[in-house]
Amino acid sequence: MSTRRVLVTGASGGVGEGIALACGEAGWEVWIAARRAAQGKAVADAITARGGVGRFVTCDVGEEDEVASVIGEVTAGSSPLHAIVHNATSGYSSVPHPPSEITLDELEDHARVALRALYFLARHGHDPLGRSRGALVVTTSEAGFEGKRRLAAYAAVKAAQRGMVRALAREWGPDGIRVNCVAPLANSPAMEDAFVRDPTMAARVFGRIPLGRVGDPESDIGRVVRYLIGDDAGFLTGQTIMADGGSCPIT
Amino acid sequence: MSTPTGSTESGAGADPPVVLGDRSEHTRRLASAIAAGAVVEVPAPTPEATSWEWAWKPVLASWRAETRRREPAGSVVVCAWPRAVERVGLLEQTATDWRSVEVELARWTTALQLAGELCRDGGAIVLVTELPCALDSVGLVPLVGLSQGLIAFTRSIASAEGARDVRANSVTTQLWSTPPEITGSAPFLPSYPGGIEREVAGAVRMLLSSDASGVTGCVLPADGGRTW
Repeated sequence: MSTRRVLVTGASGGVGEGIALACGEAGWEVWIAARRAAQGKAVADAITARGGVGRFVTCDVGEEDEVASVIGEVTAGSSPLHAIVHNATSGYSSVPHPPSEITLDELEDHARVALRALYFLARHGHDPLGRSRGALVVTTSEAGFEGKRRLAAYAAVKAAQRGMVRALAREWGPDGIRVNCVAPLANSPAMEDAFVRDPTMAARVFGRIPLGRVGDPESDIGRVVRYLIGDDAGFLTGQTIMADGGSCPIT
Repeated sequence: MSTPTGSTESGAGADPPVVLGDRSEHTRRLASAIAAGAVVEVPAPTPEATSWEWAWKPVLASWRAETRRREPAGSVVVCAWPRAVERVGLLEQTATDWRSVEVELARWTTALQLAGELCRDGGAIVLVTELPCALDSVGLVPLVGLSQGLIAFTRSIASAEGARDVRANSVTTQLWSTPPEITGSAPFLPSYPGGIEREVAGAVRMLLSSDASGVTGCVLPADGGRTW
């Protein structure tokens, strides 16, 4: 697999970290764009220690000037950008409550991090991705397929991301850019937090996974994203890969 | 609030559906076709011209607080049709365009929340939204994203309210996002893209009726088979 330069948002922990590490495992140059500097730099260092090239840049993906700046830095000196992975998600993603209790403040944050950021990343990333005939990957969720009784705003923006990806795949196909989603079910601080907030959730989650476990962020999720970015997925676009152990009944 | 003229009682008898929608002729026609008891207007705040901040949140919040005091209804239809459909590539979408998308997301999820609160036990909620199929989605990235998001929110309400026998489903249409040229296979039915009074209202009535008593969390495309 030829080397790549990829940008991963929200990669200072959890699934994003797993994606970044899996890309680094292949010897790629991985730029981590996140708000948490200490954690993000630690992931970048881990990538470098494993034979990849890890770089960290502070970025709030909900701010257009920061997104533009990051992409500018990654592509400085005409460096290619082969892939953008939009994994960042709102801090409200694991805060459960009924649909009626969702506030507009929460919805605004969800929209900002999941959708507005995707809009910024797409607008500023299109040209470098077009030059490299690269890939855009978005982390969605099974919630985006089936809705969630106590995470309705999260489900809405995850479904919106999936819809945008399907349409964008058609719009950008002529430009040589592939656009796909991954829907992971993985061990992560967000999931652990969700289990604490809703103790019944663990039983529901584990009860429907044929493989009997949640995924590891690097080996079970990151490698799927790496596949989506790489040459082996060169004819795959507009799709959502369910990396969830068989959990979600809707695909 | 307005009541469609000439409305008659729906299949729900003396408990006609309430429509949460906008002031458009299309919404009025759908409300009339399903014999709605009332059309409650969902506010459409204007996004900030130069800021991404949702400074208009209080408009929706106060509308919801006021409207939730209405009498509960046996069924609620959220008619979330777009105000206009124009094919514009994502790269050509301006910040103003995108801010408008966020307004739509907020206003229709607020309307869906209200639908969950207004719907009586044993009742039904239907979201009606414009959703071009994948083949016809070029230039409509925000619309596709918005509609898919509202559908997922409706599914979440189906899951949350099912315990009190409230059903929540979605009807998707392709009335205004028909492509300039049909790509791929042609739609199955010559009536494509369908009309408000027959194809769309028929699907809504069915989902509101007791014939659909076992149907919830589903999406019913009323577009002549274009989406499948």
